[in-house]
Amino acid sequence: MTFANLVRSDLSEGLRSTRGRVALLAVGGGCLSFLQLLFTMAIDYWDPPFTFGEAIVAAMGGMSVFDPDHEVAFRFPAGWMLMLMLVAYIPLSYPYRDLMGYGREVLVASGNRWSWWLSKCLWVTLVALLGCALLVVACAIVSLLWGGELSLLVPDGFLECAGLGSELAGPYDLRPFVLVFPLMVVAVCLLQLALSLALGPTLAFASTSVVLLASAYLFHPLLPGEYLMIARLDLSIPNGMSLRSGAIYALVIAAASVLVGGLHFSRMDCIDKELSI
Amino acid sequence: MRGSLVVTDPGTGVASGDACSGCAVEVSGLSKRLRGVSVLDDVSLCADAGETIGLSGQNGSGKTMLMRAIAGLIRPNAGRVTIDGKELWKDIPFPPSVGLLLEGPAFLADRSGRDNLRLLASIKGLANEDDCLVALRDVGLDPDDRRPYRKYSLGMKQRLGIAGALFERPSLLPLDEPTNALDADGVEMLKRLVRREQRRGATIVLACHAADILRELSHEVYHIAEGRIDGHEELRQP
Repeated sequence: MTFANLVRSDLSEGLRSTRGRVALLAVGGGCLSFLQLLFTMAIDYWDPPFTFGEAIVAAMGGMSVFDPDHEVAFRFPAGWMLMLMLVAYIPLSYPYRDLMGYGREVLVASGNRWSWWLSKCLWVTLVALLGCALLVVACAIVSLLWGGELSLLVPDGFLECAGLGSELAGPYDLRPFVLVFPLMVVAVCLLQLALSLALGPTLAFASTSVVLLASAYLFHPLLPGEYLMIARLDLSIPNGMSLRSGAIYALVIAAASVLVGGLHFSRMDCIDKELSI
Repeated sequence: MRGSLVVTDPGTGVASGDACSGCAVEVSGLSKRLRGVSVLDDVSLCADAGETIGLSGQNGSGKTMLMRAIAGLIRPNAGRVTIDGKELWKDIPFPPSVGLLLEGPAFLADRSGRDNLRLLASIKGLANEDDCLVALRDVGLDPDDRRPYRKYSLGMKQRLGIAGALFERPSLLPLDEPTNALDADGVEMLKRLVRREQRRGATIVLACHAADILRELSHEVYHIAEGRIDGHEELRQP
């Protein structure tokens, strides 16, 4: 009964405290997709209507693999990173701030550290999924505004036009990506949650940003961001990341974060790490 | 003799001849270091069921840290805390029946006082709506006041904190500086409520700068300095 009450309390208060960030993400995701499609149109390679899949590529395409040996400068994927950082930012501070405030009362009242921790993990998972859903809906709205259809099939040539440098011929079926993307986002957010206990939310968020940036600069299967960029997947490049592997990796990251974070929390001093003693 | 100072063994903080069997709250040789700094050093004390023990000491002496340890919020580096014979961090994670007023009240900023208590009550299900209303009236707050917590004055916030600590009628009450921000009426209110809880049989750990209040309400007082017990005064029997 206590766990259900904890979850109910977190859902109610956590969403209430993050509604501004959620709204920002919805608007930001839509704007990003819209602007990227405008860019594609502006260079006169692709004209509307844009399908749902094309809108998703515009928002979540990321960047093609960077080769530091070539004399091409690293083009920072600002839009992609900003969008994912927004998603990571939504659930960032509530669990930690809650623990330093009202949540401390709730924790002691609940009498069980694992219940409190698992409730927070569930909250982060739901909020991360909500963030992904909002991004997808924003892309769908952008597509509809451009008069496109709600198809997740992206025609051949679009990835090139979007500056993502695909080496495989289309069409590209984004359905597996749309399933794995939220799994990996949840995993990254749970990892961030676990880190926030040890480091505080600021450093945890910085760590998430570093991981995303490293994923853009490098090309390695252990970097979670690789699975969040359409341009890095095996559907668009020959040696791309496997979405099946990505799904398994996401589950491993999520499970490890929940377990290790829970073990740490069960032994942790509930003292604000971002203030001196 | 009431008011006589018994100088205790500074290593244990307990007067010779004291018996700690059956303590509701027992702290034995508790030490804690945070970021390399010793915040509690070999602290020992004992509170029988229904007893009120006072903690006196300057700012930064370790009173709040000791309260955190009793509440199960910090893990000792050495020693232990037992609640009714059960050791924290080993047998139980937190005291099973506790009402906490620690480091200032912490409530949801956008909710009214009544909603805050209602939400807190929903976690354990020990208090109902009437208990919340009674608690608010007891501390001098209007249950029908719909203002959010963030619009409360400091004194009102403190009163709500006291209500939050008492409304479930817990067995253990760690109260850290409960008189903060209270006016004279508020202090009298607090004294009245503490005496009521004493009659109910609650075990109270009271940290307070006001020595007169400590002496008035406590059965014994421990003095803390630099994380160590350096004095113990028995005032009266429970």
